[in-house]
Amino acid sequence: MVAVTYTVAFHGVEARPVEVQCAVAPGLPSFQIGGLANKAVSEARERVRAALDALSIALPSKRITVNLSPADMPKEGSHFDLPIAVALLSALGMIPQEEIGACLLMGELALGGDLVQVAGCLPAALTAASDGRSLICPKASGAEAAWVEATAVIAAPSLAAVLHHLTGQNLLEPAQPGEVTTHQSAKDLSDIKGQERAKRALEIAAAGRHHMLMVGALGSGKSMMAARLPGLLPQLSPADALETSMIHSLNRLLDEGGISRERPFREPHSTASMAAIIGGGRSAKPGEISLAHNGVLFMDEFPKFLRQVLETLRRPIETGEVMVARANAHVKYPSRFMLIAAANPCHCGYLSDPARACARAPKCGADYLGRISGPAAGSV
Amino acid sequence: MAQTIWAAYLAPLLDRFDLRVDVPPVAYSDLELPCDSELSADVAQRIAAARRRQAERYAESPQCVVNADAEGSLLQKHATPDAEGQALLLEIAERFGLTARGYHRVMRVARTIADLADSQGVERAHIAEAASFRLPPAGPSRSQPRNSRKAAAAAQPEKMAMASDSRP
Repeated sequence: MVAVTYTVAFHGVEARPVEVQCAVAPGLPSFQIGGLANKAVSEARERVRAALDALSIALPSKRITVNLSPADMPKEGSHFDLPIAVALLSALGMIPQEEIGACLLMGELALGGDLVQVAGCLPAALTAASDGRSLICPKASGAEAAWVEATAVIAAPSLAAVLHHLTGQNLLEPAQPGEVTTHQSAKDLSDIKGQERAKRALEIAAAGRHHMLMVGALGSGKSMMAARLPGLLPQLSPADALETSMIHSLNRLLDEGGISRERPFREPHSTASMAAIIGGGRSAKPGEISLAHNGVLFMDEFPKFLRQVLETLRRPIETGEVMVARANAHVKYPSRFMLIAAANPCHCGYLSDPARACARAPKCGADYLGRISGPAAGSV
Repeated sequence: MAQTIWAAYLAPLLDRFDLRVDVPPVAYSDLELPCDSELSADVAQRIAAARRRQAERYAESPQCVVNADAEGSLLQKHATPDAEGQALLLEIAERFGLTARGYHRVMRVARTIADLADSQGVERAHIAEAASFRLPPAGPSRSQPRNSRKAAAAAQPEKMAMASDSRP
């Protein structure tokens, strides 16, 4: 008998529907998973076997074949455990097929049968809503997924709970949307003494989402200034909050169990890699510039960032989106951020302060700032 | 010649900053001053008001939410300064050799400054303030002569000649 459940595979922020087919047939005992599954998906076999064992369900001595369809789409992540386990239970006749056709499942199984939080439940809930299905996800992801009001979200603590819910023995309540309460920032603009001109620039930048560059000696308050910015910006609109949270959901940054209306403030270190800032890696994950979507990207020591990073930054600044192209993935992420950059006037940082400037004084500044204002002089 | 290598890729990036500002070290005596400057909440109110004005203005164009998104005809329509402002903008552009992008970015920032001041049109003072944030920050490189467009054009053939000489 063949049983079918539904789940999703991620392509950027988009969650594409995937059908999980499970057939149990006579033959040499085996358990195979097909359909361009990566390592994490293939390992689902062992987790599913152990989780079923914990429920005192033994796998039959038959040939079990699982296919993830469409089979030519690469699939990554550990969220395939639950749909595979449920498809198998259904193929064994323990869950009626008509129950599982109307829901989309995702979740990672612990060996004891508990459901572990997975990334991307929010985009998955959107897909479920557009397909007219409900979503069954791990309990820890429920608050985030329930934000999509068009679909019912069931957040289950374990495989046993899912089994009881689907067989009607013990129905679970739909999850409630969680919102991270905006904690009033203790950082206030009035903490900064003087610097009226920089404060004015900060105000203009915040009002029109303009990019801003600050140049100044070490300890003159550049980072302090940037850190005050989230307190100045208006809250995100619900639509924008959802858009930003989708990206955060993919990087598992919503583990507080909900969506925040506060604007993201990202400050990557200058040694961060290209993949960390622009996006990429094997699965073309979003980078810092996408995590800062609708918020602030603060780059301290701006000239020290990798050349490649700074060059790639140009396009997203203009277009508000970034194309992450890898051999096996070609993904577009939104990245409409407000760039606040800070730079020292020279290597040691004290050039503009005559009392502390180093012995190499005007030259060290020329070396360092040549990177900044030398070329700028021609283009201003 | 590390400097020119840097220059080649940083110049276009720097051109994309709308605002550049110097943050000088604070005098020790100033650190003892009481915290009597504006609170974040007050500034945030002004910013929210300016953003509301932008949202109303761009209500019909979904691609554009804030002044930084305004492009082409939308920018022309809403951010073109009055005659005096226009004259100043032209003068600044010529004197400092603004790029076309720089020119438009000054217009956008001026529009935001006008929004903060609750002004319908963009005036000369708004252009002046916007342009003041675009000039290079103070530093040692300030002492370098700023290239005018003519000087750059004059230097160009020389560079090209050198480049062709170096070829085998």
